[in-house]
Amino acid sequence: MTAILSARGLTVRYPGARRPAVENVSFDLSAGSTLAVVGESGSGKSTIALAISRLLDPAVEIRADLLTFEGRDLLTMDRAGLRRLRARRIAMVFQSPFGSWNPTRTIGAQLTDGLRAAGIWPSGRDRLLTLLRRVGIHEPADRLRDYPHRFSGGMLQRAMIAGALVARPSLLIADEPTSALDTTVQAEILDILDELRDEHQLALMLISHDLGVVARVASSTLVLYGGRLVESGPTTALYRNAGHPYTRALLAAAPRLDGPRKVRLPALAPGPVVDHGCAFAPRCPQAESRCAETTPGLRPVSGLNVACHLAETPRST
Amino acid sequence: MTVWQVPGVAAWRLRRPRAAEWWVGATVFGIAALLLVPGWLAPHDPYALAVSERFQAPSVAHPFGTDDAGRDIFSRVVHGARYSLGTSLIVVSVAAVFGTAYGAVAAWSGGLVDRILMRVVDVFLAFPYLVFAMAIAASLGRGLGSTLIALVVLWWPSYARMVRGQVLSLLKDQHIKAARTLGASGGQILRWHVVPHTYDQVTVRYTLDLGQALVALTGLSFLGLGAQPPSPEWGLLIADAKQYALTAWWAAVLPGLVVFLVALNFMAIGDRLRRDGTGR
Amino acid sequence: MTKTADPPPLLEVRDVHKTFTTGPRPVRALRGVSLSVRPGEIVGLVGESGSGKSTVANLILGLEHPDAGDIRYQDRALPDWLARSARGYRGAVQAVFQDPVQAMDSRKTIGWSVAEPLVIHRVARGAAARERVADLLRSVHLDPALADRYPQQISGGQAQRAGIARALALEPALLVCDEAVSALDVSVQAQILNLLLEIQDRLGTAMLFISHALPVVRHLADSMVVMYAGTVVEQGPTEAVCQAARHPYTRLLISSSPHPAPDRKPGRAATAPREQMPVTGCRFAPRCPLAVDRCRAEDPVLRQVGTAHTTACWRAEDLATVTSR
Repeated sequence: MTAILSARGLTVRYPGARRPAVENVSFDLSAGSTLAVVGESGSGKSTIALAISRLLDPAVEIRADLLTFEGRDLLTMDRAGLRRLRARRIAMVFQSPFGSWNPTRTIGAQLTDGLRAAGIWPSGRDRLLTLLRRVGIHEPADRLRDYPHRFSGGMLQRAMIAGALVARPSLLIADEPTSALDTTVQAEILDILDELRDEHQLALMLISHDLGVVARVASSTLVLYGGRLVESGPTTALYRNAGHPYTRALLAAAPRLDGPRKVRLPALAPGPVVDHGCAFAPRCPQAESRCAETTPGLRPVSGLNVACHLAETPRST
Repeated sequence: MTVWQVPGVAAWRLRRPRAAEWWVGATVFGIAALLLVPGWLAPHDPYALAVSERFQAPSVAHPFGTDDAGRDIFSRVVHGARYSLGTSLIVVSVAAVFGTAYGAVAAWSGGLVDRILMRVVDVFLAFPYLVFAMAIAASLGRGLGSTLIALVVLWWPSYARMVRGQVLSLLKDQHIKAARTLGASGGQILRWHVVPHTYDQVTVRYTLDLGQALVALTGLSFLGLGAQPPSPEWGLLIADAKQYALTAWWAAVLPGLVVFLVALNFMAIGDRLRRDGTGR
Repeated sequence: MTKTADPPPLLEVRDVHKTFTTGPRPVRALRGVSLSVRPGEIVGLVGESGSGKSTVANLILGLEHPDAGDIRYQDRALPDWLARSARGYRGAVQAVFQDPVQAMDSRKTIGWSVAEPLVIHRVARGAAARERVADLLRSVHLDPALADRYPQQISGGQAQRAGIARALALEPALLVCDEAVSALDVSVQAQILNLLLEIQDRLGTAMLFISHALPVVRHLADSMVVMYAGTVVEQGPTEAVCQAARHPYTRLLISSSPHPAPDRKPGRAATAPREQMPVTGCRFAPRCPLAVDRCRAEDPVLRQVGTAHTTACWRAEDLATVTSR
């Protein structure tokens, strides 16, 4: 399957920043598959989404050897082209269900704006109603007359997803779509996203701080630390034998339903993100002198790509 | 070396002032000098007539020139500060202290007391100030005193409303809830966690209002509703000078410029304080 | 876990009801909730937003008052404590909040905030208070030099440690932790969980640990209480509840929880609009795959299904035959 979104060496630098927010990140995303982008706050994961949809301020420097969407170069595209792209081909869903809606206008009015922008009003109305039912909003024609405060967080997020998909985009970027929601609702929304991806052959980019959350739906995962890709590969392999100490630490620090109880969790000590050498070296329990000297590049290690000097040496703790 | 304070101990300590603090300090010092010792700053007697020296253009001897009676305008402006600036200070200070207390009491009491107190505020806020000032002047007689009363009466409600809103939202804050679970009494919560949080906004508003009150006050005097001749109140200086503004431009323009710059200085400080969010 | 003779509970919540009437419609936040915490025990309270779990915390902290029912600490009713010895109760039952930065006064230094309970309760003041604060900060693995900073100048993890130090200042017997780790990154969360376990171990402090995250509650708690829509639907020893859940909602929580094991595809989560909360019968019935007519007609009562394990489900026995994991 060919990739519809490709990035090679994507680097994003905010004006005046000491180091790039995103540095030399490469990935491919093809139709019908889900790519998870995982990292702590400040890892640059949201910046990647904003760079793809070109929603960053013009003063922000975006460089890449290649950044294409459906074969077209995103870096050289003019503003009108980008606007058309965002209205029809690339859809986005954000974290805050309440922050994404204008409280003074009805849900229907706001979804209609999206249809107009995509040039499918009123023809797209039926499809919108179908999608709303599909994501679990009953009696959608009635609910459209409601204001956002009458919706729960989960319902707003469902409506946002329906609105995002009505113009038949080929790429859906979901930035922490479920972080503000309850566990059960979170699972429901992820399942809906997963099913819609399958039904519509969507390319889905799922951004999250929680490896456990993306495990539910993502076929492959990128792990970011300090703006750099530290590990990437099939999600299953990542969970089974993560090659990077940071990925392993993230996995080990989260309490698991099938793990031991009431034991000390191996928690990473806090530390600075450094420019020289491996960005993770100051926090890494296994760091050696070479980690502080040379920046490790991504290398294939047992089915994954790992940016760690020590990736092939047997683990010892 | 620990420098932080524990509750119940006053928190005074010296440190290097920031640029904004130098600026505020200089302003306070300047105002104090103008109000307390104008005689030291003014080269001439502000009331002394010297017909031979009338309509002199600005010079070293008369930095702001002289008026139609030969009085030194610079000295009149310096002495007029007591009337213009002094009155503005009284107006805004009285309004701020009363309004803050009023607003805090309303928010703290809540319920019916709060509703009644705030309806009173609404009534005052609904008055057009010029009409009200004229009414006061008509009933109490023209003069700086009636203007002062009119402005205070109209000025305090904005503080009451602002402080009430702030206290209401503060009372919902997590840190107030946390203090309650620690066992803090109502008085401790008010003293430690509520009142200090209103300082920032009150200070900003106070500073901005000093400029506005000065403009309002000189405006009323200019219209003949405030200070009466021969007082060197700034609005009155400008009003007097307007008859011969074409021959002696300085007599109206320079005092006007002083009002403008002083008001601008207050507003700029206020804006700066707002941006700094003092103490945060 | 060794089983000794049950010590009397430190805190008991008995059949507590609470309705909020401030909004456009009255909201029945709690409808007959009971739970107890024994000395030194960590009780996990898990539920989604709107389940009433935070209301339970506010009632125990004396910030709200129940419409009906009893809250007893050391076998003495809460109103009695607050009327006669409010300080005694406040000192014994302390809180750790979700947002540690918001829970401290932004105009006061960390040192000031940690010293505040000492001064309120006249335990120490001046130089003695400073010394005690430094000890407290060290006990939560913070550099005492942080006393000088303001809450917004330190990281979320440091702020939560400071919040815990503040709560420990009066050596409480019970800590009420309301979503105390929910806002933190996973490695910081792990550090705070480690700290709480260490405190239980070292000081024997009992805790009511409230969270929406089942894996976190399971990790920490000795026993747990599952709440749904203002009622307790299941409670018991943590392992019993997690391994042999007998309420369909607990099972839904288990299958919905983030689970780093991608090969295990959980079943499709049940969906039902929240707006259609029933007035009679089991509140979970509209979302329940096992609901029968009786569930919609009769309120289920808590019944014993194992050692100290109770559940409020009419179909608990049938559920036992369906494997949960």
